[in-house]
Amino acid sequence: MSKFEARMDKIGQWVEQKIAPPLVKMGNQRHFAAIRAALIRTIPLIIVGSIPLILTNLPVKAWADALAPISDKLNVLFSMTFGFTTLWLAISLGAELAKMYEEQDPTMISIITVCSYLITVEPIDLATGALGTTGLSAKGMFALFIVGIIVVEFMHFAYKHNIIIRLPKGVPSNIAQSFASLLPMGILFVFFWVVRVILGFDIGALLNTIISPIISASDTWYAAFICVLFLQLLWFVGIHGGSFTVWGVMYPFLLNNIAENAAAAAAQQAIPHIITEPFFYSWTMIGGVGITLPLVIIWLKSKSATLREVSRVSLIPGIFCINEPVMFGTPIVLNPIMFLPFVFGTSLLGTMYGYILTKIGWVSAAYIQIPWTTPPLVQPFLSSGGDWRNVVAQAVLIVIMAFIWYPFAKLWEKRMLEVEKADETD
Amino acid sequence: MKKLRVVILCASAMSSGFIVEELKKIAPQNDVEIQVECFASLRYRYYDYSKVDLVMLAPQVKGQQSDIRKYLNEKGFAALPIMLIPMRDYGLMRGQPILELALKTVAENA
Repeated sequence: MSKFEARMDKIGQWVEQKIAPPLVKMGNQRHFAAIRAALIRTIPLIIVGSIPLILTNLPVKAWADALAPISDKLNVLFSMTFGFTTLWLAISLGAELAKMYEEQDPTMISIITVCSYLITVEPIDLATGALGTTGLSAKGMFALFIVGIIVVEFMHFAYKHNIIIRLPKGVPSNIAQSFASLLPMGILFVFFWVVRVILGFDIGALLNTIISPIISASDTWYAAFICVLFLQLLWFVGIHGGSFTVWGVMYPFLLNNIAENAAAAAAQQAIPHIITEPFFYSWTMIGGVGITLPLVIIWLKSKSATLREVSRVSLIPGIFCINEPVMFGTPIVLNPIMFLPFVFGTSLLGTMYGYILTKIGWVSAAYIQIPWTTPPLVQPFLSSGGDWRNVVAQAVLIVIMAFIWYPFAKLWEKRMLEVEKADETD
Repeated sequence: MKKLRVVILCASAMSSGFIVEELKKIAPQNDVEIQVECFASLRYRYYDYSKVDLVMLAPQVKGQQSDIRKYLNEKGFAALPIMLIPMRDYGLMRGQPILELALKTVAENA
């Protein structure tokens, strides 16, 4: 191992022992993990809810004109799915939080969470018979997290300390269960009713004020930079970094940002936010985390038999942005030679590239949510609502990344050839 | 024919899907009848471990090994071995070395 590699190896070990464990521990915290699981369940719904947006914002004028008469109706489909994210998330979150405690029934906790949330954030206006809808959109997410946690923790507390109605043993279990939940559920509803309807305390508005600056901060190049830095560091030590960064801490903010972008697009207004989930797909995860697709292509015709195998196995998954084969096959994970390009050379540069291009208006910000496995070049086209400039920009980035990977790819190939030659002579 | 029932715990259950297929393909050549499926590692508490002889962990979730070991011990599965899938074999989807290691691990823990 050269001195350079030894130094990189030491840094890699430091990341593995000092940086990764606390992050993983934080990410595995029960409530946080439940929120993450609940959010992931809503992703397909958001993707489907984006389809009306694709239709109402088609880049071809003739098609857009043809669809114009029903664009209002398409927007209804968008609003009730994507636009009501927090309502659907409330169902999902209640169930996920309930799973933390064996005695709680997920369906029941879902119901209590939805009802408590509506009482707190969008109580009915009996004069008009209407519910507000602001709180149902992604904006309400943070208030929902608080309501959801209060609900499940109080229900658990009540069951543990017997603040429930216990029916005699012979009664069928589902009847006994529904009676048991009655008392704590009632206490919760009254509590939220008092807070919102009697005291007039709007937790949704309060959280909006608190979260607004954080949302603005999430939409900056430095938030994206820090997020991607941790993403790359965690993956470098072989941990699924996305669970703790993009699909972890950042996710509610990314969801909020794309929801507002989508609403703006639906209303034919300017798109407000740059940093969304598709932002990361377009500029930092081309062919997989760390923009590994150019690397795979470089090794297709490698002199090293091992690397040719890695490339062959990694190509098709890489087209669908799955890069475990090249990550663990090369391996990139814990490989000192790959440390610099993977952690600093690829995704971080891609982040700055994408941010600057979007900021100066050379590419569009994304407003359509699509699956993360959507292939390169297709993905930036779809998520930007059909902006071909995003496709061109991504293609250029892929070429730039090929140049950045090249010296390190060659260096590793040299090492592999040495190992293969040594194996042969044994 | 040896019988082997395995669950692979993985982050996205997408890359481990390939491993499942590889293992099913080469098991007969090794005189093994294998039942193997993948399961999301973050949800390890919701799996019925009485169905398996071996738990395999994908390399990117090896950080969860001690939590899972503790959980299994608590639930009466202290004898159920956990096997870490070696990184390169996982990445290159080499079923043969993984199967051999699995058989060895189960034999050592019998």
